[in-house]
Amino acid sequence: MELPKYIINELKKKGADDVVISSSKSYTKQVRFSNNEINLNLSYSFDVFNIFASLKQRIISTSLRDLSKKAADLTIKKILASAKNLPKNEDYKGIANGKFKYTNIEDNYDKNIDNVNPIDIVEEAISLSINKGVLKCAGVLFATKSEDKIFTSNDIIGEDKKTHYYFSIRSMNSKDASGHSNAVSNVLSKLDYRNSAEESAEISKMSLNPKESPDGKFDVIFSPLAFAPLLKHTGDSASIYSIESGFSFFPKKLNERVANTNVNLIDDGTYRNGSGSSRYDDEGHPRQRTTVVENGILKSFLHNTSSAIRYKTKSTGNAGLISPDPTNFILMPGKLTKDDMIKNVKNGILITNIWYTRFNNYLTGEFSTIPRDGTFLIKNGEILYPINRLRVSDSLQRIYKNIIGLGKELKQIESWEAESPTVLPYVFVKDVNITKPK
Amino acid sequence: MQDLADFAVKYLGKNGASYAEAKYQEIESNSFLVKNGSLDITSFDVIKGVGIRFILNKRLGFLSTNLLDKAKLIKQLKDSIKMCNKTKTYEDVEFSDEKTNKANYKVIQKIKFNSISPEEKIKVLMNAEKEMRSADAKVESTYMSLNDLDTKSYYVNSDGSKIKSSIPSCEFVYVIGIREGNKTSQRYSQLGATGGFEVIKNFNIPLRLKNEIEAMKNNLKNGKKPPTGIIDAVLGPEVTGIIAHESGGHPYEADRIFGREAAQAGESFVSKEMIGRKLGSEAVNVVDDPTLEGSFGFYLYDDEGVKARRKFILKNGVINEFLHNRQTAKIMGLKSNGSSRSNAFDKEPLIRMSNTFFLPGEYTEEELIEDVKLGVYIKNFMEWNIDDKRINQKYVGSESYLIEKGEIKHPIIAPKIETTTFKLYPSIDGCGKNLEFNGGSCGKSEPMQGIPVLLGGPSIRVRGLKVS
Repeated sequence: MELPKYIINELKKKGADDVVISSSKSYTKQVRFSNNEINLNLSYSFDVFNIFASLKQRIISTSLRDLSKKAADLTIKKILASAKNLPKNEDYKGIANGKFKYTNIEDNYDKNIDNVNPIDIVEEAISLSINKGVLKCAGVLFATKSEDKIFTSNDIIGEDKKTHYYFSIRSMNSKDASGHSNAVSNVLSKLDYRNSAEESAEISKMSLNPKESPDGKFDVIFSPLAFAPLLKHTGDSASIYSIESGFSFFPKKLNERVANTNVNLIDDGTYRNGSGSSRYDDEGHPRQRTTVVENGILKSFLHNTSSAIRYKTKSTGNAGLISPDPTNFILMPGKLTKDDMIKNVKNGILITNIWYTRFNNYLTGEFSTIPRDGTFLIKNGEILYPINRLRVSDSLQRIYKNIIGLGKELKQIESWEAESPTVLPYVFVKDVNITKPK
Repeated sequence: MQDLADFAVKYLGKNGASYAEAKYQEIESNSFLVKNGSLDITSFDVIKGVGIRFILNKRLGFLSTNLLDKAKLIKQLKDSIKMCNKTKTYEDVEFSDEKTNKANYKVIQKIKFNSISPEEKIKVLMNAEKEMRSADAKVESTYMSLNDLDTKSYYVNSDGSKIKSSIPSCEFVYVIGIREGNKTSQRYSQLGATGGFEVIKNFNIPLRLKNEIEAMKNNLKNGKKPPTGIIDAVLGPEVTGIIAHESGGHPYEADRIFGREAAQAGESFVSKEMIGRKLGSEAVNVVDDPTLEGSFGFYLYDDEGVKARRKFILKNGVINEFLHNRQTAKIMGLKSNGSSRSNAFDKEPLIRMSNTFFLPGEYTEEELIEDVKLGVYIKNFMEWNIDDKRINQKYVGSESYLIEKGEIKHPIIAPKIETTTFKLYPSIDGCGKNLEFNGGSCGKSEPMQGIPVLLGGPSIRVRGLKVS
């Protein structure tokens, strides 16, 4: 408490306009497993103390490891010396200012986390997968607790604490037959790792003996895990920083149609039990719920205070001090079950996971990605057989306009391919371009 | 603070560990981010911490911290030891016996990064911006980041190895976009090297980016649809490099072959019985070499204390050697070939590539082209991907041209090669004399570890590929 105030005051005295100090203490336990065995246990213990300063629009960030006054003085000196001859960031317009009230996030902290043995959870999951007839499984479990604080030169003081569990399991019945499922929660009681173990096993068994995929246009049902990397990129694309730096397929589309009328996209930093939920953002602005796409129309980008001033709008509580970032990016549910979708498919494919999504052009959203794990050909409302060696080669613009159905159940996803949090249902897209190697 | 690493290794030995190692690091960094000609942010930092790994009752544990305090470290060590004791379903882990090494090495900075002011480093990016904007093209967006790092490491293990190193490095990443009428084009690329500020000078960033913009403009303005069907292709070093990395390197990481990475970066089409199996043509020679001076993936001792060397993965098209750490070497009854790396003290060491490339051949690029009746020349690429077993791969060309009757003709827009490792490698019938590298950050494991690598090779000619 004393040191942040001291650093802020010293920097202000010497010409800083804005200062943000954020500190975090975290402890993570991890268990990694493969071939039905635990490979190793890991733990990470880290304290960080970050300093952001703007001196007449010259922006510096650094961190302090030694929390003594002497080390702080040296760092202050270095910040001032570094900023002296830097060019201005004319785009920078300041940090949040106001008397904010922060609300607590529901299901954000598991008081019992210190007593949780992640190895017990992993052993149970491995047993469940094997009992379902799986040859081998692999994955990871993380259990993290963290305590964060923020102090700003606008007299904002905030505190937050959080726990988080992440479980990922891939079950395999042969080199060509596998299923993957993930579970995330901030509290252990809501971490559905048992369902993930069983779901991954079911997909794996169903995907035995795949046949070569056809290519052409297909109606595709994406599971939440499969669509999450595309939704993650969509969330990133909603940041005003992505628009400006050429990483978004949304530029110049505000208040225009960017998706079918059934598509509603929300960024919600207050989402109950959300991986990306917190009381405040990186400048101390309260987190909030922001409608990005409403009935297919692009309604808002994600802003911090600085970008909001430039665009004559309000911060959406998504700072990043330079780049606003999505929190929990949500594709709102529809009314269908997965079975309803399958019944409605004449000629289609069910994709349960994707990986290696890469863009040829971020502005047009042209990309390709590779279905991984159980992928199934559907004909006349029935799953025919598993397929492999295919690729989705399409554009996000087309895919969002061709979403013809959404599942009614939301699932929160974090994955190797979609590291930032998303929440979404099954997604049914018509006329998706499928290619394959020759 | 090296004492803390020594202490941890001794402490674990006293508490029953059959093996222990620790890596203490101090990483000093400076980074600059320029977007559309504006310096968004300047960052500088010094990170210090220690990562510790051990085998206790044949069970493997890892811990890392930046709290450089003995009492706190003991508490964390005790927790890790307890976790090893509790477990029923634990893999038996053994390491290969290796020679102990004592060494102290450093990469020389001809021009020290800390002798160069932030303004001078930023000037490189601003000059690049100026050059791009001076080209005859409508530049839509520019995004550049320049980072320099000085990584000082102290490694110690219970076998008696003690290795100190100082490895300064830098990386430059850019994403640029142009517009021509209603068409747009983007390019992403990365350069990386070890050394001092002189390597940034050698990157010749302003000229490189100006050339990029001009090639993109030519492609958008004059480009036609690519030919389609099964035709020949000549691929430039940037494309050869990504092929070497994705399907010439990754499948031969022994931890993938044994399934340890199954839930993350995936497994491999390769099995341990495939050593000696013919996979490609005689022209195919792929190596991974961390000892290349000045390279982005440079090291002389790996993160298990094993001396680094060149690994000959594919020799005249035959699978010759996998990438090993001490664990997979033990499983296969071999010695480690020094492929264990962590991207920093806070992550577990894993089997990683370093600088992976096709060895050059005997042709000039012109000779490779003159023998193609109908084909495509793809100099560089934007979109690419490969499946997690490393078979099904795709490359979409950026700067690309039609080849007709042995000659380069007009530019072509976004030719797509979609092929398999089993089709591609036997179809390589010639390698150029040239050898070029690009930087990369290779991703693996959970938590994700991006590690510096080079991807490289000569121009290569491939017969009968699916192009669309």
